[in-house]
Amino acid sequence: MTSNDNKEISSHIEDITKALGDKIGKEVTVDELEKQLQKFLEYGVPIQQAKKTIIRKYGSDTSAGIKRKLLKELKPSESNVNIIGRVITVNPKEIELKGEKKRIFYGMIADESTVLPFTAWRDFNIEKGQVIQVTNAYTKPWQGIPQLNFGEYTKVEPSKEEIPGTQEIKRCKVDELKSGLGSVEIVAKILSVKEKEVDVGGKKKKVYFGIIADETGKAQFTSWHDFNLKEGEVARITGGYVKSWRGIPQLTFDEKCKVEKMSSKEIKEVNIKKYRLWELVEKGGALDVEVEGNVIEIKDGSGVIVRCPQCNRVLFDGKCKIHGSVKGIYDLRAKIVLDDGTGAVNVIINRALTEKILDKNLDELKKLYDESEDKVNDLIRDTLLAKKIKVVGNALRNGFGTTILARKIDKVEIDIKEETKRLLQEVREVSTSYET
Amino acid sequence: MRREIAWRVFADEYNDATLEVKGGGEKEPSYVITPLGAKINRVFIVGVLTDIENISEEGKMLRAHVSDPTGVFTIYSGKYQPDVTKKLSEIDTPAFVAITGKSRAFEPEKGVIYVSVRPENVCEVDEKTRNFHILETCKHTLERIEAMQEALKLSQPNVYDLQKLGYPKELCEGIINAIKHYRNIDLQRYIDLISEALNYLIPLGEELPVIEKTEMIEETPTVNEKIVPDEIENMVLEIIKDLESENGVPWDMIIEKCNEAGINKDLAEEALVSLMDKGIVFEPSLGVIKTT
Repeated sequence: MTSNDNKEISSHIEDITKALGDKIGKEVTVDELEKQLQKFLEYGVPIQQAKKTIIRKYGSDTSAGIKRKLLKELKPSESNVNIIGRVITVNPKEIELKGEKKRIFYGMIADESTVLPFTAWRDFNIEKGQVIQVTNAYTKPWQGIPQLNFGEYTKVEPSKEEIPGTQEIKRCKVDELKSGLGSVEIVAKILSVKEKEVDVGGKKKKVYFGIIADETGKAQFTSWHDFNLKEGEVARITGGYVKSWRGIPQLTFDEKCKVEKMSSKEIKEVNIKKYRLWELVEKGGALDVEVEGNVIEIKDGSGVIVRCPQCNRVLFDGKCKIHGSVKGIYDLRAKIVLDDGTGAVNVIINRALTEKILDKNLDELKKLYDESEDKVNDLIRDTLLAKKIKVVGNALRNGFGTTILARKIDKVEIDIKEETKRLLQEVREVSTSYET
Repeated sequence: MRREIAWRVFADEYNDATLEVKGGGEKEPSYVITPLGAKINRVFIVGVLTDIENISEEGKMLRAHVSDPTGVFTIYSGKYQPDVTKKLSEIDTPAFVAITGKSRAFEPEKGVIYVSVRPENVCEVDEKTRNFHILETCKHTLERIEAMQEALKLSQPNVYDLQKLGYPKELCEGIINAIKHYRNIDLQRYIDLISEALNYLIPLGEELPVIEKTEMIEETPTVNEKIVPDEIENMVLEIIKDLESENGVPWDMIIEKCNEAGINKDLAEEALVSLMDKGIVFEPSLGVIKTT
């Protein structure tokens, strides 16, 4: 932070203290204000919105005395949570709780910091698009992010607040889609589209889903309305929001959003995005990515494995955890850790790819396996360990980090002489720039 | 839980590290921070395995050295890594190896740090893989130098502003740690280091000088094995007695003193091992020697 920035911030703080008047010192100190403003700025909230939010937080009568939190600040296990946000979606769901049928509601809620899923355990008359003030909610961990829960002791009231950023349209490219964005506009090519019928609160509803792409990458989409999208078409989709499934961004939209068909020239090419591993790990997951790195570990569970014919689980000592002693089916896979010096991911390599890499088919490997289990694993180690490879596939996030399901694998080869010359030149440039 | 990154770093930069950041809680990882801001809990190194020796009586603790164009990594592998220790002991030196391992720092006194590597995975590789790795390490080192230059341009270097320039978060954190700890980081020295490493790759297709070098290292101890005279052992023993406190004296400090006394590293280490074999000195903890 430069001293110039500091000066600027103090002038904003002055604005806020003026607006809050006699509340300064009683409800909040200037120091606290400054900390909060810094935090907003760190999250990339524009300064005007940040100021508005802070002034509203302390200046609004309804929220007086209650500490409102930003959704982004919430941790996965928190109680007594007070927030204000716009309801992006809400759907009823019938569940059975201790033998009794119960109607609950689930959906997504957004504020200026992010979007989170919520579950309401009773009917609060929450409507889509509405801004609500929620008092005394709690959070639970759900797929690595906090999920808001509105329970017996939670108060949910409609609010007249404006939540900046939740209605403004943000234009973005496919690789910029990330969980938590609301109201996005995107121009993308429909790579595939399918439909299925789902049960929403006892009613049958058609949902359309598939893959969209542009020159920056691919993502999934879900549409709750039939926009008659067809494979190969290019469309501008306005007003959708982004959630994620196992780290893969999913653009979701419905009849309230606008979908315009465009000329197919709008998207000239569809590319697979290359990531350095730290970027991918930070993002969590993505559809169809390309990464490079060294194989630094071959994990247990690699090699020839035997699966249960009924449930596909891997057998231990010829037994399935669920189905007991069964006549197993042989399979082959490699589970590796790929690391490029900036980040690390797990990669699962299926039978066909493993056969190709080892240049042996499963039958040949089975013979080796019958001689000794180690022989196949040694072969995998000798072939892959320490080698630099390029992997293409879908990257998913789970409790153990990011895992790529490999679709394609290639060895990375370079011309060492050429690369050495190129680097020597680069070093000379750095060296001269350093001297000056 | 995030997996620790395997950093690409030359031996010289790694051995220059004098800062260890210890994890707060029980499961929090510790890091060795190099002067260029590599925040190392895990490393991936490829180089020439020059020597392996038993440093415990039961042969359950091995010390090995892996050489790269800039220096030597010290590797300790013990009974808690039985597979790796076994694998390591079976390799005929010299050999090209790739090692993934955890960073270890030993601090005998405040401000004095000896870093080593505890291997998790070892495998033999070919020369091409090693050369490729030198290039990769050059690139990563260069990125650290550039990030460090950018950080030093900031009026108040901080992780947030540095990250905005597009550098990985871990590197930004390491760089800020390094700036706070190391005074006057000599970037030109590391630029020269990269040039040195690259020049090493230039005489491709010819007999690589590393082979001669490793043969020499390999030969010296075997030749001296039988002829370490009692004199040298006595001198080394005197040095140990001179230096040791109640807790003993660090291995490297002995070697350093021996060096000053005109006994080279190989001879000194040989004498130390011999003294240990005779039971005159022992190793109460890793890298520390004490008279019995």
